[in-house]
Amino acid sequence: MNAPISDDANRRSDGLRDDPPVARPKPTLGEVFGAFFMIGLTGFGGVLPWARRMLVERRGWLTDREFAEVLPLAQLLPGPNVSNIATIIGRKYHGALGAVTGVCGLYLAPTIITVGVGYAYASWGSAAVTTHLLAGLMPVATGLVIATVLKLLVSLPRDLRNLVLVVTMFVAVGLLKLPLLPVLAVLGPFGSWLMWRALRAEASTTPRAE
Amino acid sequence: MTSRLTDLALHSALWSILAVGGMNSTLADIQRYAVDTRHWLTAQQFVTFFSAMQAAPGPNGMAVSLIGFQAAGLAGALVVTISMIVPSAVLAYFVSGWVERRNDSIVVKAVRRGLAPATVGLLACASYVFVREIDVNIGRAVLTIVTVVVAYRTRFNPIWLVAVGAVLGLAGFVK
Repeated sequence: MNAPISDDANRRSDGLRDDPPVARPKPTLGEVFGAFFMIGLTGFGGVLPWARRMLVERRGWLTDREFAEVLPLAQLLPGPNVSNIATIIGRKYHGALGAVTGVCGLYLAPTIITVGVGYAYASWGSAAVTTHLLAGLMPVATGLVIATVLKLLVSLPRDLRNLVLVVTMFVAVGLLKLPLLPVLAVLGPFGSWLMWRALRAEASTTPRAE
Repeated sequence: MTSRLTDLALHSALWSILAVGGMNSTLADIQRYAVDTRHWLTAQQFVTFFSAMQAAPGPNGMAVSLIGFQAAGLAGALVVTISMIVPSAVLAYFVSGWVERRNDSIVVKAVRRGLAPATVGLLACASYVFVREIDVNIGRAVLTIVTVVVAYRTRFNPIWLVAVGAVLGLAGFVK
């Protein structure tokens, strides 16, 4: 762990990290809680950019590269991505207690806010101001999900396997409204098996780089 | 009431485990169960909750906690939140190290590539739920399309789009 923090850190103009770092200090439990509490509280419009800002830029716990390695892992594991990041980072510093602390910190503010929204909706859900506000929010929420689909769609390799998996999933869960559990239990392993076969075929036709 | 809380807990835990690529992947299944099967809330409230939570900070899954609130009050919200967090966190705790050590293995790569199209398909289902359940008018259609283009082509934080939508709604430009 005594590798230089990152080029980014040395390039910064705030002068805080110009000295070659010897070893990064291990954050205390309180600091883990505080960092994830702030991520939860400030995480408007998707929490991941705020998590990166806090963990890489403000606290310096992770380098850009380390964050870039944790992210796909957090995305591969099921559940809210940022919750997985809190688990992985908390565990790294303080084991099980750290993971619990990170996750609790992350969810404390959003839980209080959500309960507040619940009470507010119960009282003012049918008020004119709420109806107006939601009329503006709903199209944006729709557009954001569609944009995410487009971004992910163009990042997929353009082959028959991916096309079939995307379309089958959409037809099964979206159009036929089949329960997600059995559909994913079939399509998840099936898709992985298809990709595994493709990867094996690739590995046997291309000479190993090592 | 207890059975409803148990039902909420079991399904939140299930959605948390099935949420490949993030909580929004389960949106269509949550709609199917919470609205169509259990009638905890109306289809309108469902899209309302997911839209409203875009304007609040925190992980995407908090809209599910709001459904818990609607179904069973404060206890419902807390039960859903905890049930949603624990299974995936436990899995992440025990599995992340194992996966990290085998990140370049063919099996982990295959699972990653196999789940990617599943995630895309599920998010397409989520979009479809929104499109299906929201009453369309010209203002809403234009705002949706503008949001798609801006979010797709630029790297602005989405909260600015949410803020623009809120202002346009409050000002009466989008009804």
